[in-house]
Amino acid sequence: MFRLLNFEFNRIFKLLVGLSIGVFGIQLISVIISTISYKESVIESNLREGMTLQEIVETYGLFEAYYITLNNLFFLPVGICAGVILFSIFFIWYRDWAGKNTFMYRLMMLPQSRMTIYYAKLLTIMITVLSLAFIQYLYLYIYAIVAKLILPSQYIGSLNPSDMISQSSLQVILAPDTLLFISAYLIGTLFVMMMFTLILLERSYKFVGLLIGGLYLFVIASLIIGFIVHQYIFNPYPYFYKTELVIIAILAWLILTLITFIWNRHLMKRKITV
Amino acid sequence: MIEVKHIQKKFGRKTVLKDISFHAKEGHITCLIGINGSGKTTILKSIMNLMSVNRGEILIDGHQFTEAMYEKVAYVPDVLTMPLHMKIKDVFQFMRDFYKSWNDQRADELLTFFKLDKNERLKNLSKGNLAKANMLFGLALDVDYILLDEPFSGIDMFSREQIANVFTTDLVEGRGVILTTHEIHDIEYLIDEVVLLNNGFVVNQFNVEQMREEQGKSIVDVMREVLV
Repeated sequence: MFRLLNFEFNRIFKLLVGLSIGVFGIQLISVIISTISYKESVIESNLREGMTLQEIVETYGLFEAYYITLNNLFFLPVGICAGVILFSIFFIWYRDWAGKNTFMYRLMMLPQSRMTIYYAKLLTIMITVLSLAFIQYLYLYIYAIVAKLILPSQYIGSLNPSDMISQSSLQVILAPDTLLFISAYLIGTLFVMMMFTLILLERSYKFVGLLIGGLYLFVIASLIIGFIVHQYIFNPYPYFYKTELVIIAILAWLILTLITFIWNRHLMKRKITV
Repeated sequence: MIEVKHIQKKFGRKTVLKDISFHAKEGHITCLIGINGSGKTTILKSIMNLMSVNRGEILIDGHQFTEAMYEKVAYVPDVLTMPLHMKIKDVFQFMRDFYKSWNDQRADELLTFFKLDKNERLKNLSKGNLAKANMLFGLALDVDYILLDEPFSGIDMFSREQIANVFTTDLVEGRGVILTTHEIHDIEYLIDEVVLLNNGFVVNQFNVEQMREEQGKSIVDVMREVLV
């Protein structure tokens, strides 16, 4: 299986490199803008008005982790990456059917379990997502260095990457708590598997498959949203205790993962055609 | 021997294969002939387990299809099966990685036979050379059976000749071949067995030599009787 995973990952590697460079470029500009704007609007303008270094720090505080992600531009590449990953979930399958060549013939005729193709594609997506998250984490260290190069050291507070994460929307992709991080990516894996179900249904039953897949996703989404609405909106007091909610979430994840996996397996082994 | 027994295949409400039975022996070249839409490709895909059938069974040397059979039977569809950005030598590496039956020596012989360059990217090949490369990827596997879907369609006369010639060499001889074609004139001399398809049924299966000796008819004569 690792040979095919390696092959699939190599096919998407350039995209990963491109995204990493793009993220760095845009975020670096965003960090430079935030830092220079702090330098000009907080430090220099107040120094001109006669405030002392001590007074500026006491009034406005130090340049902390929070400022690094302050500019909305910082999150633009994160959004672009999310969009590209969503697109890749479909692209990774459909490119093997489309065009002058039909690589799916070769993949399906490999003398190994058809599920190998499935695992290779699923793991490629998950490795890409995790790599991007890891790269994003590493970049935060670089941004701290960049800020330190621009600002005088007396104005710099703690620029700890974990603070940059916990004080911004970055916590969605880089949850500071290990358990939360794992949970987020397990839910993410389930989401990718569900998208695969939609693709495999379409490849097996064409338009009818797309309808069945759409209905399946609609039912699941309705159940989850319905539950949340019932729990938090219609009830003045939440119906379940927190521990009960965790158990419900784990059970729901397990059941959905199992159903989705068994369905995908059936479609891969018996239904998809080329 | 590949045995196709009473297979039926429906696409929605349309039954493309109603009741198809025939067999193809090792060492013989069997040609599936029928008008467009008669289900020739569907049959090949069904044999390769690339498509499930609604009824009937297909046996290869007496066994049902398993994933390991891809080391025993190769299929060359009428489209390229590898990504276009790859070089021929990269495809060789890919095939070597995944198939135990990949035969490097045979691959090199075929490369010379078809006058192809190992360092060429697939996307730079002409249509004729693409067809040859596609065929090479199938023929270089040490398999007992080779299934070829329209190997002569849409390519120039000389490439067609070259591909036809490969059947008379030891690169193919001794193996069982099932092929579909429209260009029956060019390869009539190669074919051992014919399976004539019409309206979802096998209307005739015959040995070409025997037909010629016993009834004095060529493949086209029989086709004219049955299909026209």
